[in-house]
Amino acid sequence: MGVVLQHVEALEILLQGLCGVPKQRIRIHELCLKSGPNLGAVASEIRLLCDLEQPEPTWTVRHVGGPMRGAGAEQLAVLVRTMVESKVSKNVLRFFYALGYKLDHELLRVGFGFHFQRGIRITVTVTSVNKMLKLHATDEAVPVTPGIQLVEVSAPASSDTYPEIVAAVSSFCEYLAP
Amino acid sequence: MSTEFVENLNVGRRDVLEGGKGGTATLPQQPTHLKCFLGSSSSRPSQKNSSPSQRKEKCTNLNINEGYDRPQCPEQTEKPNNVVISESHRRSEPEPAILKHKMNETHTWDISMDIQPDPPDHMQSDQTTSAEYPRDFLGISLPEQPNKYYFMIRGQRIVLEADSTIQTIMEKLQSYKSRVSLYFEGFQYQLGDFQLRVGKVVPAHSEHLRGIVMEVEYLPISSLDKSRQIMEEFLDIWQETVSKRSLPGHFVHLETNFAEYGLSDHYTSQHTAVQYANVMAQLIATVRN
Repeated sequence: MGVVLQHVEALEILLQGLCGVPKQRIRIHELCLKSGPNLGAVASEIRLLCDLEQPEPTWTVRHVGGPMRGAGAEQLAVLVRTMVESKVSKNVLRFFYALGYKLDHELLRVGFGFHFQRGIRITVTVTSVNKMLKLHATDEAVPVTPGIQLVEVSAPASSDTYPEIVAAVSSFCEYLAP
Repeated sequence: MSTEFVENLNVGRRDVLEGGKGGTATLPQQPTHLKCFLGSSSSRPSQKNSSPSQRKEKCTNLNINEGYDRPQCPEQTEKPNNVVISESHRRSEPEPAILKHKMNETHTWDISMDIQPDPPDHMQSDQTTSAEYPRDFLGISLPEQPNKYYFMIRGQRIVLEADSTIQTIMEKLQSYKSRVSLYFEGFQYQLGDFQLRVGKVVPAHSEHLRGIVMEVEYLPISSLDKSRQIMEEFLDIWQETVSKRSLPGHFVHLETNFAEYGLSDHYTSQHTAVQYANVMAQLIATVRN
């Protein structure tokens, strides 16, 4: 979901009240790589996340699968995707270039996030998504959607906990409804 | 790979190699730092003709499960750095008898390595695109870092350290697949400040011996430069001792230029991964020749 920029502060105050702990600042340089031509039987996509908020930038590789489909998915009020992450050393970009992956696009996400523990762990992030006019120029990023920030609510789940997680996330989202 | 856990082979004190102090069959205490590798390859299948009493201490496919971290020890003296040795060495018995009688066995150890040569199968015949993909893409897991996995692309001098979940990610990408898996498995010995691992190299699901690897680690120092001399001295003693036994073949030195991989003088598990990749390349080249 999205939030108009002028309401971000109010949303932050609301989340702070619900969470009870200080927010975490977010400044992540996200690079989306796609497999080069003729690499692998199917095209593949990988995301490299560089956390610029840390004193020493840290890198994470993230693979997000397609949305769950089928009769079971249609009964869920949320979108379910498989996601696998791995922390990696800082030469990961060069590594995937060597494997034949190409940079498709890059983004800079700036904002804040809260973690809620309500039986399950729910993460809420409010970020502006920015694009870079020059390659890797994070200091010159401009918003993709000026005036609107992205609100993401997520929670880890396994196949046997979908109903419980869906209920918890849906219930939590009621607090954020305008 | 089997993950059967076996009890420590704590066999008590034994005589040690000439000139050294007595060692003890104890668990490694915060070991780390410098390593040298001696690898040998064999083109013959292993001959399992040893008696049951001789083989009672031999184990395969075992994890140490120590998972010990390796903090930086304070540097005590000026010491030599690590050395890598690789050699063609035909043996029917992968465990050197010289170690069996001279050192204290403490643990078994094993390492798994995946070789993922490219290009992908459906591009084998396409010469124009095959050059785009690395042909020396290796992955390795080390017993001292159970939650980590290491990728190497030797041609471009790249070593990547990642959480072990990176293997799941690579499987989901389906751009590269493991074609050959090799295991380094054998025994670990403690000799004063040195820790030795000697083992055989076998493909997955096979007992065909591909080679013999010996890993020598000098525990007190993390600096490659400062420990170079003592490592060379140790290996000189080793070579001399081995030569007196009239064993077939010999060990040779295989240096690794860690700087090319962007690695510093301070020894880490990434250094180990790179050395094993070089040992593998040497073994493959020897088998082919």
